[in-house]
Amino acid sequence: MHSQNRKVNGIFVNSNKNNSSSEGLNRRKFLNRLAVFAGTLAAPVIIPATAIGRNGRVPPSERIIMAGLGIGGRGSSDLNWMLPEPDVQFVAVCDAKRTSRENVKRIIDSRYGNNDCKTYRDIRDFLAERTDIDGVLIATGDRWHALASIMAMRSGKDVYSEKPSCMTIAEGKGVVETARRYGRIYQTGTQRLSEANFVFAIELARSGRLGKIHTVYAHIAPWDAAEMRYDWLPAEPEPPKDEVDWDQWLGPCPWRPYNSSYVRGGWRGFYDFHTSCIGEWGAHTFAQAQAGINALDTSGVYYEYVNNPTGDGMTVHFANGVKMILSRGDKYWRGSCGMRFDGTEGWVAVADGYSKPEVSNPALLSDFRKIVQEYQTRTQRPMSHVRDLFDCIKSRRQTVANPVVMHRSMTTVHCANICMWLKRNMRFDTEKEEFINDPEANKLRSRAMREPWII
Amino acid sequence: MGNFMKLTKIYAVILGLLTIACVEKLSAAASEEELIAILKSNAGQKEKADACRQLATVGTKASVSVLASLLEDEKLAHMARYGLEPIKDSSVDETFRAALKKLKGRLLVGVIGSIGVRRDAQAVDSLSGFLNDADPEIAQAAARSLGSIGTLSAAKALQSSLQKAQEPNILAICEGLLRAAESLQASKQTKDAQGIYDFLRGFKNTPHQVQTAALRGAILTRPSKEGLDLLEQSLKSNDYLTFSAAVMTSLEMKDKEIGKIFASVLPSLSTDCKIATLNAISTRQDATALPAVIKLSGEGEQSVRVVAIKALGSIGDDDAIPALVKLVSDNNSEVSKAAKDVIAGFQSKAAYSAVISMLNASDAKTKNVGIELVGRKRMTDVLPQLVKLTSDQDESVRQSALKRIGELGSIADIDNLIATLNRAGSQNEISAVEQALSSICSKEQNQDACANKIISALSNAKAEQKGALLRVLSSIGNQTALNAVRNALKDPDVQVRNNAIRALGDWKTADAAPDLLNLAMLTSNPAEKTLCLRNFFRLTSQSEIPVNQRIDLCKKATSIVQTTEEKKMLLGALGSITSVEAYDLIIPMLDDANVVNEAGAAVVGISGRLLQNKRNASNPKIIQALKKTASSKASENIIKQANSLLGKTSGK
Repeated sequence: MHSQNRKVNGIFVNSNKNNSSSEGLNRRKFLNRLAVFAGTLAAPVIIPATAIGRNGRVPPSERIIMAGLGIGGRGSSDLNWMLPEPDVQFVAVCDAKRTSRENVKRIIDSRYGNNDCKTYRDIRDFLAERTDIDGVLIATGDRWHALASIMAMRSGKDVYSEKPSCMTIAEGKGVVETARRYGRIYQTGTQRLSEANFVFAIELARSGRLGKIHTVYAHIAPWDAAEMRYDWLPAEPEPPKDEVDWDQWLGPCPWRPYNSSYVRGGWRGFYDFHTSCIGEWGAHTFAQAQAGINALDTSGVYYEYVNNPTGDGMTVHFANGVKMILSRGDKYWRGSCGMRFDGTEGWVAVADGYSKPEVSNPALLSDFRKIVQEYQTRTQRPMSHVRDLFDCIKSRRQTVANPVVMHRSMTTVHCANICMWLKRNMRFDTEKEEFINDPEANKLRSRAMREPWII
Repeated sequence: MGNFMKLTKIYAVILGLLTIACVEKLSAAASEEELIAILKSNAGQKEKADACRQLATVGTKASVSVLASLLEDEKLAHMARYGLEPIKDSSVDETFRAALKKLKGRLLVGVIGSIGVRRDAQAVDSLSGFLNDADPEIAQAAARSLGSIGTLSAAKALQSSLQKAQEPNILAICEGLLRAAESLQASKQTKDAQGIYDFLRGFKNTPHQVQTAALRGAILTRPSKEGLDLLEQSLKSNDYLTFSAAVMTSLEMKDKEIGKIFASVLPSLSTDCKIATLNAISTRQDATALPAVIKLSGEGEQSVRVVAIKALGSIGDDDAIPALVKLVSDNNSEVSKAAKDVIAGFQSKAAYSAVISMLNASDAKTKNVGIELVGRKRMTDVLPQLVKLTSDQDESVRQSALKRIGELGSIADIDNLIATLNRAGSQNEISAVEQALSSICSKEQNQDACANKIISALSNAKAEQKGALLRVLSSIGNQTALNAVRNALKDPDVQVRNNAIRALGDWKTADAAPDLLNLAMLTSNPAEKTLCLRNFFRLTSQSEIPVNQRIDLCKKATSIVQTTEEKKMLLGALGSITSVEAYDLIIPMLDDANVVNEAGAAVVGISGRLLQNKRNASNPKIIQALKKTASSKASENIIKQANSLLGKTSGK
């Protein structure tokens, strides 16, 4: 039961009836074959022609070849957002769960009117085989975001990762280091950084039009708690590996017995798999808030514990003197992932579903188009998060939600969580990336990863 | 035997209680001693895993031996590492090193990984021995961990292993070497780091990402001049991979020389490489390359020109403004649009002045672009020039200027606009002024002040202009405006009266309805009555007005509705009200042969909308209205629709 059975998975079993699948092809065996065929171009015997590889070249005039990893509900939205891009083509999907693999294959094939999308169960097989793929959309559960990103970038892929993009501060750092090391393009799924309403609010705050910003309010998910679950759901018989590869589904997380609820999305709220109500929306709203106070390259420095189960009302202080207050309700906005900047001369608030942001003075709104235009001229960012990724894959410049933005804003998330879990105020040194005089908190900056899923 | 069984059961119960007690403690932050006790007990996997997890936070040297004892336990080995990895004590490193000799397979991979996380330099020799392990997972884990340790000896071990590495392990060894190079660079051993990067650059058959990484490192670890030379050489490479790696690396460099290098290589590059270089210049906001970028913005392929123009915007240097202004008039629409967009977002006084000078251009096309940019840049202090342009000889210029005045103007501009209105020669121009006035009035907080300015202009205005002013009052829609429009109903000029009636028909609230109804009752002019009723029913058709209010208004109108045309107007208004209350007024008219079709259409329309809510399927009023329609003398089509809707009710 404790999954040591990769050792016995050394036999090529062609159990899959789908001709376009390479599931079941043992990774080790595959790699050995790859070694034999490398340089001979005799690969098509086993490897499709596309796997000969593009060798990392995506000049501006070429299409970007993409694959999806762990595409479920949210991932399907991302996929549907990416598929219409004219210079993008999805050719493969990898998922530990068969039904998800097949569903996504159907979506992709239906889009292109063919049966070409290949499916993979094991991410290692996928990465080893598909050297032709330029980028991956990672929309697994949170536990896999950083690891899959790191593995993909190490294999030469560019990455769009859903949020929250890391489970720990150490994982976030790993993403930054890997992207920098290999010159990979990475975008975390904080898509509001590419939406005009939010950009307007951020630019109003950033440009001084609201005076000096003293307080930012950031929405945290109203349905989850900061307190996490540590229990195991009752054990159910583990399905065949081809149905659900439980070992792979767990990835770097501690082993626990299989229960179908987890793989149907019921993993939220568990310490091993989730980053709490703070991470759920804080992954978005902290990045938004930090963008507006010019703090995307740093994190909060002081965290004030609040004695409630959610973190609602927690104050996070930044080195520039701005306070960020975590807010669970709709007091400062209507809708999801809201944020509000309060300055000495005015305020702006925005959330999903707004036709235009709310402002202290309607005159601020008259400049809406101008402010967004100025932002776009200065940064050359499109008002589309996925388009920004694809543009950057071609230009090789950093995305709006690049690894540093992800890591620094997620560090604020992790610190806020650790503050709630240890139930005390804490100070964080953003240079050393460690808590000050708090060894226990420092130990929570990383988690030992389960073998063999070690970064 | 029976006693033994009993004792065993009792023992099991006690053990269970002890375990439960310990586990309950866990939920309330157990002490290290309690957690160790759980690990030493016969507690289950879950309880022990929980204890390991907690020891990851509170564990000290005291926990090491008990956690170490679990490293060979397949079910708990990971959690043992989970507890051990964060403990800051050398005994943990000793434990892991010792475990290297005992463990195999995945458990060994785990410990190798933890040694890497802890960066235990004393483990280099042991880990080096695994680099050629037959199990790729072990060899690869060792390579990565040696890289994390990052000492020179670790790097040397990796370098020598790469020469004879199995294909599956090459990437992991490269990863190890890159990590080691970063570590050496961080500890100021830059030459050694550079040596690793150069070694990797010279090593054939490495994947593209490793080549990119090696080139990046080789450029960044070299002394400035040497690094720039390598960058330039790579930018000139025919290989797009080398080229793009160099471009990306340039984004991490601060040297001002890079702009010059970009400028020198740009002309000879392929289209793709030009675009990538321009994007890098843009990201670096490097004005040094400005002349080269300006040149590319003006010639060559459209794709390059557009990227060059955007780069001019990102660089934000005023020297680009004359070129951008010229490009606005380019024959290529993509190019001119890009230039216009860039000027619109260009934040400088020079850009501001350039737009103003466009307003003074001799040709209408440039003036119109200038006017558009005034709007996009929200240049409110340029309003006087816009006002001047309302007298321009070109109508398109006049209209554009009026539109922007409406967008940017305030109450202070109303007088100017009224003056423009009074001299307007065409209906188009009158409409443009009217829209500008409405736009300004809608933004102003003091609506009374706006209304008063419009009212004071009414007396001197000609009939056509009065019509426009009355419509502006209608858009204001407050009591002051309403009173003024009421007064206009008494104007001797029939054209003015008719415009006032229409203005009331456009009112935002039902406040104007009684005036229309009264006038319809009192007037002896049939045409005026019809106009009043048409506007009255237009008003009552507005969905913003509450349903009950609309029905009451229709009821009031029934007393004066006489002709067939008037009845049709009433039925049109009633048919737009989604309420069963409307049926009472409609059903009697199903018996009137002159309007039976309109009455039937009204019933069908209302019923169709109501039946979208399934709860209405049994509403007797709906069923009755549809049945009456179905049995009326309305057209075949209406009867068919009525029967079809009846099929959706419980009265079918």
